Amino acid sequence: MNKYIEINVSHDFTDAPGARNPQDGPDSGEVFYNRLLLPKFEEALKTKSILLVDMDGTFGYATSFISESFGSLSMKFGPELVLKNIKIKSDEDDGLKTYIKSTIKNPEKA
Amino acid sequence: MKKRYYVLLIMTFTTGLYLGFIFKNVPFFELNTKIDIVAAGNLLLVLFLALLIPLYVTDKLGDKRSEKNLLIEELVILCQKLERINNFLESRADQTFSAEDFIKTLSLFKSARQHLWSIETALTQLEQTEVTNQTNELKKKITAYWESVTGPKGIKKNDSYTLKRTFLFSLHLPYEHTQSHARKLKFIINKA
Repeated sequence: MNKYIEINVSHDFTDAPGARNPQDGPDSGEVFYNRLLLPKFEEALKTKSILLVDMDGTFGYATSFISESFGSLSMKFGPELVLKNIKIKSDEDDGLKTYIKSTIKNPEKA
Repeated sequence: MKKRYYVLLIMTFTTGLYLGFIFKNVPFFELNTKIDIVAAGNLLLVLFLALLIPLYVTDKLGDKRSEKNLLIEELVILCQKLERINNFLESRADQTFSAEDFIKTLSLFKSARQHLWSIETALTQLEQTEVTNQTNELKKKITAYWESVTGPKGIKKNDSYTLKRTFLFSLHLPYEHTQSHARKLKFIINKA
């Protein structure tokens, strides 16, 4: 039985995520990565848990936000480790889950 | 469908030959040579329609026509949603693009993308390879358009950001590709 650590983007971060960097405006992918995604992923690795990222409840995402946050995580830990220890939930945008996974698989493309 | 048609044609022809043979050679039948040509034509027409209706018309009616029409309508809605994104961005050309505009754009994309992904199952249920391939292609095109608008060179959630007309020019192609693929898919569904 897997243990889960959860990030709910709309609840824990914002319901209106921004673009790539803080220079692009507030609530950027970089801020999300540094404030939530990276520490929670490290915690998940330490406690041998799965990081569940709930993407629902926001107005939508910019691809720059996704590439900066999930792409950076993949660059730091490698696609295999990230994909093994992360689970994406997106019931409101069915295609988003696939898009994030492909960003993790090819972070340099993003 | 074509195979059945040819088999039926051959069977009708062979039966005709046998009937002709029987009428000519079996003594209990006497052929009336003074046949009313209009009545004979009517008889043939009735027979032809009796065969045509169950074979051709019933098949066409049961050809998932209503599902196809519904899917085409859904694609029309998708095209309208894409057009709304394009028109909204065009309306902000060379103007300050507020954080609210940024959020609205993302929300419009979310709605359009989810619309396509939600009808994907129904599209694949048509069990036509060409429809499935084109649906996947349309998904790629809409994702490419989303990337062009919201990627690293795209819109920012920054009140000092101006949506330059030159940037909008670069969006024409991915937008048009998405629209034309949606149109192509409508034609393929109609023909399927």
